[in-house]
Amino acid sequence: MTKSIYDQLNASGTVAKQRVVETFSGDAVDTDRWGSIVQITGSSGAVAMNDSVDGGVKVSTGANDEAILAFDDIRQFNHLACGFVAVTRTTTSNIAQGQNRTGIKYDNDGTFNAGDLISMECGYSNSSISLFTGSASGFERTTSSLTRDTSYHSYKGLINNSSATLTIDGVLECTTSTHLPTKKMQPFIYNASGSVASSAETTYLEVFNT
Amino acid sequence: MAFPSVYEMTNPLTTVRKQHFWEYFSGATLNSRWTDHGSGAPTYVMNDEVNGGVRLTSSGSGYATMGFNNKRPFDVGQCTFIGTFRRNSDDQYATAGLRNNPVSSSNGSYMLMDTGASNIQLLNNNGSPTTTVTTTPIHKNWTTVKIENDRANTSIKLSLDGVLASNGTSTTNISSAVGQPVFATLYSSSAGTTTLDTNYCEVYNT
Repeated sequence: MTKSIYDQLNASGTVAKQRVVETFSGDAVDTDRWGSIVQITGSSGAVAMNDSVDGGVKVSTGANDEAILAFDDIRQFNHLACGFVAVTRTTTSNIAQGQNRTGIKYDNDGTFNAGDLISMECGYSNSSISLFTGSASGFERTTSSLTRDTSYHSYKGLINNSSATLTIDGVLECTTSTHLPTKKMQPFIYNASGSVASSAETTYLEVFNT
Repeated sequence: MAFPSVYEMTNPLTTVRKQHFWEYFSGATLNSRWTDHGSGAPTYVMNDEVNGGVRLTSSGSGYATMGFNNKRPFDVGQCTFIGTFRRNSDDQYATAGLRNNPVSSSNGSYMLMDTGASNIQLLNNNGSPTTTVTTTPIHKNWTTVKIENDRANTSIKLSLDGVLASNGTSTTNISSAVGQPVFATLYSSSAGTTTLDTNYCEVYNT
């Protein structure tokens, strides 16, 4: 039995690529790793650790606001070969009014429709949980068979130079080759609210180059 | 075979992973996820020593206790705690495990080495306490502590260095409260300096 985490993640003879694992446990968000929350619309965006079982971190916004948490534009992940694993959910009194996007993105801002990213998307006007990809030429929303909800799911997103996939709870749900990102990227958690407040709650986020 | 992700080392993607964290206590300073809940000018200093981890030091009649500042993502009665532990003082009361409140024994589940007693103990509490005295004598060596809290099966099991402790199982007063990992050290009978080291802590809901 190997005693090395390195050896369990990397085949013999290979050099490990960039990876980050965030378990979102403790008194405070690790501000050596994560930047300050960026207010995209309004000023109510906040980030805090939850005091509840399986609570993780909460990125919240008040009505009609949106905000993002990322790495302050330190971008170490390769848009041609990388992936993420996240356990996250949308919490709101009305799932049609809260939106969580979690994944990997170029800009630490609200550029989504013409931004470079790959993420999951749950909530708001889209009734299905989806894979969201984007580049300067536009965005692509690839819907899954899962209806938007407020439950935790495991999401695994992978991207290479020709396609992107999203596996939800272990089932490959979404594949696209449209509007793939063209720039280096950073992990992010984004939340947007419609007419009522909402939050993106995340207990785990891992991002890695492949 | 290499795992594709750290996640998949412990969970298949078909399982939505519950809260799970680990801490290596390596670096220049203690990670800010930990908060001082002590009194009497305690210190929490990274050890400049092979396998040193972090050292908690209490002084006088005070105590050194570190936790998550009551951010409690774990179910005290349905989670597993793993920690390395070394007590260093002749007169000492030192603990490691889960607590609802870092400075209260109520609604906790933790291992105790108390120089006022001969053997290692498992203490658990849901408002009412249970003390389980193992047959393992207290000592000053590094030891791995594993506490498997399993309210669903009405048991809490304490393993030491990979072996279920003899008389190390509790079956009463298992908490249903939220909890956080807590390490604590203070004197046992006469006020004075005590130190406790740890270089690993892991907790996960089950």
